[in-house]
Amino acid sequence: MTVIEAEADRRTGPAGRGQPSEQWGTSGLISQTAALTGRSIRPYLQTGVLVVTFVEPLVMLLMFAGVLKVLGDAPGMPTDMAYIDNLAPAIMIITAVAAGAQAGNGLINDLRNDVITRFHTLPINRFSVLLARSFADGTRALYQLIAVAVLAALFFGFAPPGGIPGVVGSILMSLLVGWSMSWIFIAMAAVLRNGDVLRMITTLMTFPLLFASNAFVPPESMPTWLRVIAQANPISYANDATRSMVAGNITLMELLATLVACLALVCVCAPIAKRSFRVM
Amino acid sequence: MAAILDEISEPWPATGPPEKATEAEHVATPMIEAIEVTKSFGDVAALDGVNVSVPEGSIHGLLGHNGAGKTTLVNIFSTLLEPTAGTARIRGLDVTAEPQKVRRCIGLTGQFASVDEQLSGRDNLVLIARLLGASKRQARTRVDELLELFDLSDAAGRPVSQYSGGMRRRLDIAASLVGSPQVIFLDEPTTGLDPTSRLGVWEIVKRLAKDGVSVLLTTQYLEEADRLCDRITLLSKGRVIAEGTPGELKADVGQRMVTVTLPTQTEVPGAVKALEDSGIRAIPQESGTTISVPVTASADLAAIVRTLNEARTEITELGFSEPTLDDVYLRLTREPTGKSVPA
Repeated sequence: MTVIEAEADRRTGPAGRGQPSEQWGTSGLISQTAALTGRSIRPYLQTGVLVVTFVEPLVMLLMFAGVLKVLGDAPGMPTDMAYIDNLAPAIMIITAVAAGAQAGNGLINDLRNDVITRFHTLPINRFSVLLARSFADGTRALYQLIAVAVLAALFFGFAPPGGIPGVVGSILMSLLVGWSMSWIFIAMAAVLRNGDVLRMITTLMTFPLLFASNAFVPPESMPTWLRVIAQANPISYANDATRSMVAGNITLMELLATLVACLALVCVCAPIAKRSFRVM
Repeated sequence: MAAILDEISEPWPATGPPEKATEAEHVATPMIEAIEVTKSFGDVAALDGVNVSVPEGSIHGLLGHNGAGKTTLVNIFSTLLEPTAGTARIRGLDVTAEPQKVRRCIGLTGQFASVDEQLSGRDNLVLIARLLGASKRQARTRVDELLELFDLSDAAGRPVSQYSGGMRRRLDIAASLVGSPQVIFLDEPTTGLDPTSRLGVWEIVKRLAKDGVSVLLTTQYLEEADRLCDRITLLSKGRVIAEGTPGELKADVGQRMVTVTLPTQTEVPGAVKALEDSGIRAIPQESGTTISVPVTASADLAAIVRTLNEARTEITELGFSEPTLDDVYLRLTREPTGKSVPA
């Protein structure tokens, strides 16, 4: 006789009349999102994943700071700034956007997991599942952004005029940009529901977005067609904003423009994601 | 954004237990009810005019092959799919019109474990309790209770990825009980389990029903339906082909049989003749030393024994066989052999 069977004889059952859940309070969007974000972050806290999380920005810094240092003298490069002060804010944007792009894959993985099916049978706001997804990847981005700042300061002489407030501001701004962009990928994942297609589109989008920008070289040094793209690229504007932030000379206009652009993106993508999000 | 935020959950649950109904009303409203439910995926009709009604505290079985429509029906009841036509209700609440209210009284244990592999067993349950509005303390109390009840206390801290199939299934069922639902759906709850774990799940299901929970379970195992269910709906290709208690379904198909085994094959013809001479129909089995005799009353059994005694035929074995659900199932779901032209 198993313990279960023995228990059956002397205990009142797990459900039935004296329902404990009836004394439970209300759970709203915020508490649901908080509970679900904790769940989504958990996988990122495994040792192996954490190592990769921190190695990624290190590799990026080494690669770009080392290989591209020669470009510090390229025409059009601001001469009053060390190249690292110019590069680190751009790497912050790249890091945040790359982490945001992961949110789409995260949602696809979630959809493959039957836990999401259970969530859909619970009396919760389903949007909390998507919000949690975006916050989890945002949290991972935050770890990486801090790593970029610390590593750049320790090993590459990153000491911008804007000081610590500028760096913190730049981290927060990158976080906002990456989080807003993550909604593009969450919406695509909810609509496509196909991991292979999503991964291809993600790669196809992120490469030109990140590299055909002013992140590594000034657009002035590019061929005309590429310069046009780079100058129109929203990532270039994000890079400009974080660069101004670390330089300590960001204008209110620039700050507001970034905030409005990010908000607009979320307002377009989040409703699409919400409408398309279903388990079957 | 407004459209997103307006879906914030209503308080859980609105107020206490369902309004006290009189006994008569209580009987009148089924806990789980499908009226002419049809579900089409493109041209394929997964469900075609299905009717099911489950009263409070009863265990109802949906029996059928893969592709019969069992899971589709469960998914409609648990608000994951909307019916193409027809009405599905839980405690009188329409699943399409009031899904959020329905979700408050149901628990689903799907065919595949819906627990998070990377979380511990305890964290899985706590997460659901928190989502349902429990405070940290309330969640801990409820989860400890469930863990103990499902014999998972020792493994509570381990990640689910290290659980055995039986443990995972128990955790899965526990997870669907966190909110103390009045209606539980179990989609093939014992598929892939070893015999001991299967017995464990059966005990859980029986206890749930004893506590007043209404259970709808799908199964491919006839024995399971027979042992557990108060009533059974047989599904084949999206249609209900039979409905009733296990006893009724069995009585439908056929008679009880007495099997008489003789010492040698040479005695079989004589024994058959003796039985038929006394007006008892006897069917010699094609090979071996066994004779089957359809019976209706226990007096028939005495007559068989008396007749064979008088014929001085020795009986080595005397068996009594009930028709099994297998017989029902096979007879009703058997493909027609010839090409039938629909009228």
